[in-house]
Amino acid sequence: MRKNGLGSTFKDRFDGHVESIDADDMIARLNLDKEENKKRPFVFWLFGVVSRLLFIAAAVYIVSDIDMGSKNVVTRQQEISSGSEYVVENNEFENEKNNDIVSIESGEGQSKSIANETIVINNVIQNKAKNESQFSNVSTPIGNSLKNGNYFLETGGLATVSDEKSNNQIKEKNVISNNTMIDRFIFSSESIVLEESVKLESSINVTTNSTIDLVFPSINSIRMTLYNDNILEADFDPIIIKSTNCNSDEYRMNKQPILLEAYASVYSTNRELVSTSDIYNDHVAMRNSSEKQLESIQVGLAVSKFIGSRFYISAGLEYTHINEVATINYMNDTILVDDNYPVLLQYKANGDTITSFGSANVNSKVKHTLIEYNSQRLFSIPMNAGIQANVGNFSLFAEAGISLNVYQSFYGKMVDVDLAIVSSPSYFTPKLGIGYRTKFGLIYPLSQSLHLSVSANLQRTHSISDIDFVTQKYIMKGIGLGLKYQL
Amino acid sequence: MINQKHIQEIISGCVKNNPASQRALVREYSGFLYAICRRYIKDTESAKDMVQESLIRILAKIQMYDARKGKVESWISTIAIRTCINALKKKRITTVDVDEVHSGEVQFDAGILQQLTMQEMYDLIHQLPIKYKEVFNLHVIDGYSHQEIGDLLGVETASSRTRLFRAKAMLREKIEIIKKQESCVKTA
Repeated sequence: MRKNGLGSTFKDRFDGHVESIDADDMIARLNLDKEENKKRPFVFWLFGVVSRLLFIAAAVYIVSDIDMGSKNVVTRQQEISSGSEYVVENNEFENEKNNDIVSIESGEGQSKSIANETIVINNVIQNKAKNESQFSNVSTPIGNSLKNGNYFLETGGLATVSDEKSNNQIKEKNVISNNTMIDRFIFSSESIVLEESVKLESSINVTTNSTIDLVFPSINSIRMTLYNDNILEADFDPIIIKSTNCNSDEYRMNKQPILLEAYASVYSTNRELVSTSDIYNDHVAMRNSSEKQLESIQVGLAVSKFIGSRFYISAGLEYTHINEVATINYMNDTILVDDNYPVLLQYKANGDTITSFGSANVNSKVKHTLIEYNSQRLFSIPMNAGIQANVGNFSLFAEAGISLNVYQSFYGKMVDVDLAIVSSPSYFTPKLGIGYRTKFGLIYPLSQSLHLSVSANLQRTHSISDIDFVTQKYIMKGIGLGLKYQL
Repeated sequence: MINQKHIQEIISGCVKNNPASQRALVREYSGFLYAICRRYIKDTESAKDMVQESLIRILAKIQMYDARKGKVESWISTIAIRTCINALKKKRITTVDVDEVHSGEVQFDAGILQQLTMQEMYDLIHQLPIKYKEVFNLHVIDGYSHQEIGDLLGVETASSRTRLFRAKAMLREKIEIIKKQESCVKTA
């Protein structure tokens, strides 16, 4: 009879033992040949390529459009030189001061016969520093005459409007401005006086009138007066005001400005942690119960380019710091009664209940709590498209876009897939992700080139982790402050 | 024995998410893992589930394997054992541990164990309560120290020793019963 230790005998029997199992079945269970797994990298690759192309295209567009902007100036100059039906000589205004008004009367304004003419006021400031101003090429395109409607100043925009109503009715009065206020715009009739501060690229809504006065008090003043006593029903073509060579006012002339924005936002953040495999549901459930998102901070730089007067696109670089707190409860055995105390032992063996006295350790599981402040840190490239419209001194804007999270890291402690506590596990750190975002808000001009923005932001980040069975998404709601500088 | 160079190639392929390498790894180690899981999990289908779960974890963490720290068999067996222990934790019923005065290896007639089939060996182990079975497997077969078992299971080292002693005692009782049955059969 061979005598041996029980343990060593078991070890001998099991050591190196291999059980028969259908490996193909296991491969099928693991879905190693699953088509989705093959497609996923391609989708990521495709997404990466498309994102890069979009980003490059946006950059190329911005750069190329800067050149286009300078070409536009030339075009304007050519247009101006061609329109010259009514010319106001420069020397007529040389010595006039602000708020002086010079009238340009068409003469034909009192009749309906003025047709198919164009008013072009070419406001040329050769050297503002020397207080030299020049006006030329003033012409009037007058259809039949004025009528209620919106009239556009190609170089203008709308800022503020004040009106004094008298006997005449003003049904509508909308002047929409875009960027910088240049001068006052006085629009008057016999009984209606509208005094408006006009910005470049404005439109004015003419109601009823017999007289239009254009006043530019800050640049030696010019007033254009159209006499239309009996033509309230007549048509009137848009007034076009063009300026050239405004070196000091280049900002106003830039119809498609480029802005550099620095911004910071604070968010309330929620997370969606999703397990793509059922076997990790426990892990996900424990992380969801133990981890809570705190406030998040985001800072970034972005360059935006206007396309037309209202639409813009932007791209930049952004850093997001998401704070979390992990409150992890775990159990430890603790001896409550040690073996110095006799206790009644009762246990079952082979179906029999055996009772005896002895000494025993009485253990109890004691709950411990670990509180750890974690952080998720993301670097991302946001790409947005937006729309902006001026309302009074403010502008309203709304934008939406995507962000490509180029790097994401986790610092702190969490529960591992084995439900053990681990510190900053690299394999739980999402490396790449995509986010969707929208924000809307107000812009207030601090100066001609510096604007302050306040916004309400909503972001959703889809993170792609390098482990394929857990994904985490953040939903962020917050407010932001930004400074936009006109380049 | 599996060629270590071949294994390294398989692991390198798995790190690159090569499906062929992943399939090769599954073919090489499914049986090895199944043998481990069967010692911890009584139901064979559940044991296969544990193999599956272990393989998922192994493939997910394969880049963390460092050949300088030990053989891949040791690494993957650790993952399988932890997977099984986690599964057993869900089934565990809180009980009062009994600390035995006895300790040490008692000489034992190993002949009967040598005669048992592997299935009977599994059955013997699975007759133990889960908490005893865990410690028995971990300490006796998988070579974990009581300190390591304590850390893994979240119990005191003394509790691990107690459970091992109880496990062995119960196994001896089971084996004695088998021996009596064998002798009865022979007598008859």
